Amino acid sequence: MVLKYIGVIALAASAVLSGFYFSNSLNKRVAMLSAMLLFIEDVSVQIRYKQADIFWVLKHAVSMTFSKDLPFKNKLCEIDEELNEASVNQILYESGVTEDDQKLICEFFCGLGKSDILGQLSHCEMYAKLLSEQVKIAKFEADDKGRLYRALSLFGSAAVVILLI
Amino acid sequence: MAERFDNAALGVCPRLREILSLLPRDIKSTVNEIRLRANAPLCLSSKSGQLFISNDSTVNYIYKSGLAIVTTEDIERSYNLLCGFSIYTHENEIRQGFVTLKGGHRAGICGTAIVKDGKTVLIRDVSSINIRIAREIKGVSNGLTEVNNGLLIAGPPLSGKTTVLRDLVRSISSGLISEPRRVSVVDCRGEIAACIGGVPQNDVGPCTDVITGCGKAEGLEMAIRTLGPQYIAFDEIGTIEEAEAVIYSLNSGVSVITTVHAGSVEELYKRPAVKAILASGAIKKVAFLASIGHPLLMCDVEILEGGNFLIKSEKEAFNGA
Repeated sequence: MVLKYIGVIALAASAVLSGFYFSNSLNKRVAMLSAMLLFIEDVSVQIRYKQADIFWVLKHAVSMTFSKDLPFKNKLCEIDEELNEASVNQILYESGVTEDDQKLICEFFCGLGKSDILGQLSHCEMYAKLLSEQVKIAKFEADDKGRLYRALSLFGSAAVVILLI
Repeated sequence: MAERFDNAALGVCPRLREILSLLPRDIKSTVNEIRLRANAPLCLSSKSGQLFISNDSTVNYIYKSGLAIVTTEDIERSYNLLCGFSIYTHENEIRQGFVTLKGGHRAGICGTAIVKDGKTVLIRDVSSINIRIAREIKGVSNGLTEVNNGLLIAGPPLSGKTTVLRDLVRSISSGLISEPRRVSVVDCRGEIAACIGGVPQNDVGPCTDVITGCGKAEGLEMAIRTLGPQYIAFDEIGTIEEAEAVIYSLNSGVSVITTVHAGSVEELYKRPAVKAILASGAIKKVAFLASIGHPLLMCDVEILEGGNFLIKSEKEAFNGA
């Protein structure tokens, strides 16, 4: 009997936790994209006013507090070679970034350092716009789907408890 | 000198750098330039002419098959490497067709110019790169001691004018001629001090301030107003605006040391900017340089009435009227 209760509690808890986990991952995506947006702004400012090399600019942006939500920030600090698709994908590998976001972020990094200042500023501006669209979508998903996941997990676990007891 | 070659080769893409690294030391020490041209063989310029390099790092004096061919990808990778993967940081230099490398070497960039409002803003589709290996020969200016009243170093291209100027700046700043003096260097093309991140890559002495990135006339004015120099040095005087800035320095009590492309006194007279400076009395000595290692021909400039001047060597006098 005790084992049955323990099993039911464990089942209910895992249902609740998985719902909250999925909801939380949506919120994490919002935080990551918002941080990336600020990251791009900082890169743009540093290119405009410091005109330092791209590795310094990236390190500076990583050192800012908003970068704490970027899961790939540590790998970004280590880069000292050309930012191309292979090297950027290596940075983003296993960072938990969704495929669409990864594609956008990869394109942004690959374009860094490849043109004059005006070109770089336009590049940053364009990707900031594209990312802010992604942030809007991510926020909507986090609000909408997040609530749904949480509610489903709670009701699901309640149903499991009722059915098994 | 072989070390300087290896240092300059750091600006070449890894594939070609590996080929260059295996060259014999005696070849490396005679090379002046590393030339990369798209779909053409890897080439070096040396005292003995053009050298073509094979894939196995052998040196050929004639154009034949089996040479290391430079691809467009090699050029692009080298270009990105030269710019430290940050083209925007070298925007001003690229506009003038070059990039300064660590160690004071200079890479000439050739490609399609992007022009805006009649001015080159960038170079795209880079087709060739010429890395000129910087030569810092200490003591090459040892014979030049009379620099208090300004000095013009004249000579044909590749005669070593900049090398002499750089060494002279070092000597004045280090106190090798008299006591150490404050020297301002207006290094527009990064050939004298070759600053990278504010640090001169060549030895220009302890009392030298370096202005880079701006025009010569503007740099001269800036140096006189803000740095309080006793000497101002810059490379290749050319325009009337620069000449006016030099004449302005005369009234500020600053001695000017500069260079000019001129193989003879006659060629010197053909340059309006030089004529204006010499006639004003801002520079009273001219040193003619045939090539590095050859003795300098020192001439005095004598100001005549009516804005005329006379260049007098030990042997003869040239009338600059």
